[in-house]
Amino acid sequence: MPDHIDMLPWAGHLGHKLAHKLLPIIHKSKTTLIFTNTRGQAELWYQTLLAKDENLAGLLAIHHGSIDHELRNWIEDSIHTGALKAVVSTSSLDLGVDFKPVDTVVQIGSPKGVARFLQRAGRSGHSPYETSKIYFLPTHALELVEAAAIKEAARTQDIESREPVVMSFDVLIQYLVTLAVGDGFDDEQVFFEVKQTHAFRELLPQEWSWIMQFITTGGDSLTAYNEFSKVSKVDGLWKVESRQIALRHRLHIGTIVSDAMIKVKYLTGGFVGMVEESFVAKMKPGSNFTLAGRVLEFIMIKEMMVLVRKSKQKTAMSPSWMGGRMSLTANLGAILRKKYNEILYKTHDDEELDFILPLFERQAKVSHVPKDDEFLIELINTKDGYHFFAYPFEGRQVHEIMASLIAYRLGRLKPITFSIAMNDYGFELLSEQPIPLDEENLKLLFTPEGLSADIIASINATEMARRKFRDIACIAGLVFQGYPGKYVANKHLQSSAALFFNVFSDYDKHNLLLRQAYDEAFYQQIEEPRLAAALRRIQASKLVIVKTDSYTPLCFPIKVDSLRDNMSSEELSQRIERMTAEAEKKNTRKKNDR
Amino acid sequence: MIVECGGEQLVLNKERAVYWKREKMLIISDLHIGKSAHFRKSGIQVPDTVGLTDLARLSAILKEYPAEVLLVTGDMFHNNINSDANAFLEWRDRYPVLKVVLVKGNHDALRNEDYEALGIEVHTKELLCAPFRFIHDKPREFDEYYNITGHIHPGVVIYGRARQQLKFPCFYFTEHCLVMPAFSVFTGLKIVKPEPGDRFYAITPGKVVKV
Repeated sequence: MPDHIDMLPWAGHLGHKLAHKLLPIIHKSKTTLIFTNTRGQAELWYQTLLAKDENLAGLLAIHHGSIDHELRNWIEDSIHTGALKAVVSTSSLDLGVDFKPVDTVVQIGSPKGVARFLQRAGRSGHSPYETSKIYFLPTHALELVEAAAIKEAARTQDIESREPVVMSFDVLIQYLVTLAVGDGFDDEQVFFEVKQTHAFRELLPQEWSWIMQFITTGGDSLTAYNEFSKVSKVDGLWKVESRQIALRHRLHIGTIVSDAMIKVKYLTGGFVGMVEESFVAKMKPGSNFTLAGRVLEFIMIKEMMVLVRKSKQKTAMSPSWMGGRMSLTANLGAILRKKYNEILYKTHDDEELDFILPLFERQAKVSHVPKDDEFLIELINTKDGYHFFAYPFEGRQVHEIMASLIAYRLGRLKPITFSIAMNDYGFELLSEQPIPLDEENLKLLFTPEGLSADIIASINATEMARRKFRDIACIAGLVFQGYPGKYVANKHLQSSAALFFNVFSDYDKHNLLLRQAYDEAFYQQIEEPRLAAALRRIQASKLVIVKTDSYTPLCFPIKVDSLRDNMSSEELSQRIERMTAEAEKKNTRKKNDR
Repeated sequence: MIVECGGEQLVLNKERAVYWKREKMLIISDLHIGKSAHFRKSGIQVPDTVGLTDLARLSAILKEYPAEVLLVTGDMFHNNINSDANAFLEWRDRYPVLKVVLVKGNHDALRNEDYEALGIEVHTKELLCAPFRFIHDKPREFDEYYNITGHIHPGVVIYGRARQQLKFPCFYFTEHCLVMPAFSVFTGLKIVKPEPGDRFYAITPGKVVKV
């Protein structure tokens, strides 16, 4: 718990101001696992903890997916032997590893779901008859409410179930090529085996033959390419014959999907880990950054490797990695809404909620705090444009779709372009034109009627599928993240998932990987039943519209969220013209200022 | 769209090509013939229609202008000769009078005999044709020639109010260089950070727009 509400920012995801609260917890435990939500956050926390307490040097380690493999193994061994006092980690230590000495777990920032939080808690006291202990450290003020919500959910055993993933053709392709790289496989036998699994029990023979063709001839039967080489039949078994292709595949199995990564190496030798190319692009000789908990000075890029030396500086910026973003679960969202109620009415016995009361009083003063039978809309007009904030508390994923839906329905009233932002609590539509909205049409905008048709018309299914395809292309081995340290030899095979997505969309519409991307976008991302339920709830609630000219505590975290999308009902050419005109206006204005 | 450059008039075509009227010259860059076949050889599934589309687009542009010369500023072929080159050979046969000139790029690694067989005039480093120097990547030092280059596959982002943005391939003019967009559809974009004095012409689906 922070000492005072002002210590917690309204928005943000680092929370390092509370580091001094974490130290006593580390000291009184045998070994502590500290979970963060992103790799960048882990790096920052590692730095902060070391800066706060020098005695931790050598006893504190950092573990995430972009740290060199050997280093990670060493860290895992050291946790087993109890040599480490604490480890800052991302989900890389979530599953599969059991460490006896760990008796305490700390979660920094929202765990997004009850199941995930309890799973992480279970990393501590991992022996029979021992109790797991977990602490929650909020990174922004509203997360305190989440803490209270999770406690209640854990008490009432309100835990969400997991939907198993099915029909992942990308994984099947990777599996088959892996078999082919090994001893080879018999297609009839493997088809039978694959059909037995839950994930592929609906697999059709024609889909199977498409996949076989994809890895053997490089496309469907109409366009068999004689020079394609990947998997071929040798002595009755399907095998990969090319050593290069086999090597590439092996290096590729199980990679974390990310942007083009580049290895970081000391000038004197020894790998540190990997960072994204786009991050390196911003580096100049002499710039400092942190990786694997070390402050490094950038020297140069040579043979597509970042050469560094240890920096004399104590702190530096940490790289950002594009990772998956978890969405709040429906279940946690519902409990959260209930908690909002309890704060103002003080009908609770959670200390967290008492603590956050001042922030809610402020929200109540400048706007309104939504009760669980209310639905809050904030209309805010600033120099950025016209903002529309809505707070359904349904999680990032549902908000993304709902935002597009509302943008589409508003677009039917008048042609208008929005940029969309969302977080787990609500979403924002931002436009440079006034938004045609009033008490009258608001309920109509949020009606569940005609939902299915409107979703299809509103969401940019292509964009969503394109995003999904990023992982699929990588898993299916279309895009390669490069050999470690052998980047140059690989340059002529460089491409991107987005490029493949365009190429398949234009020239190979029946590609199953493409279909998988759309399926995943529709079923996993859209979650229509959940959206319909949310809209029905909104219909039944009392609508509260607040007009103001400054940001409120509730909207602030959405405002700073950077994941943005555009949604437009204007013609592309019109948009370009308008945007170019705006840019020119800005330029002339700048010139006049000079 | 027609732009003035080094005292000459250049037509910017939305199919990522430049037409130099005075010399009856069509200029493109980074055609990457054989890239899709090269990927397939390495076990990466790319449909071959990609390469065919590029050639069909090229034919369409040649219909628009009375070009006598097709000049490629590098990366005409992707690494080595393969089945996609056959498609090019067939295409080449349909234009017996057209002179095809290549200024070699980093991916152009065919043997001299191959270029000869395909009817392509090759310049290893650069081609001077006042007021222009055609070269694959911009030279280290600038002189009186205005450089026309390719290589980086330039792209530009257009920002609007309310944080809107759109991304397009572009013609990128600097004080000393015109960087051509990559002609092939099977290429990525590198977003260029503009410096003072730079001009951009974005290639949108409908037309070329000055940014």
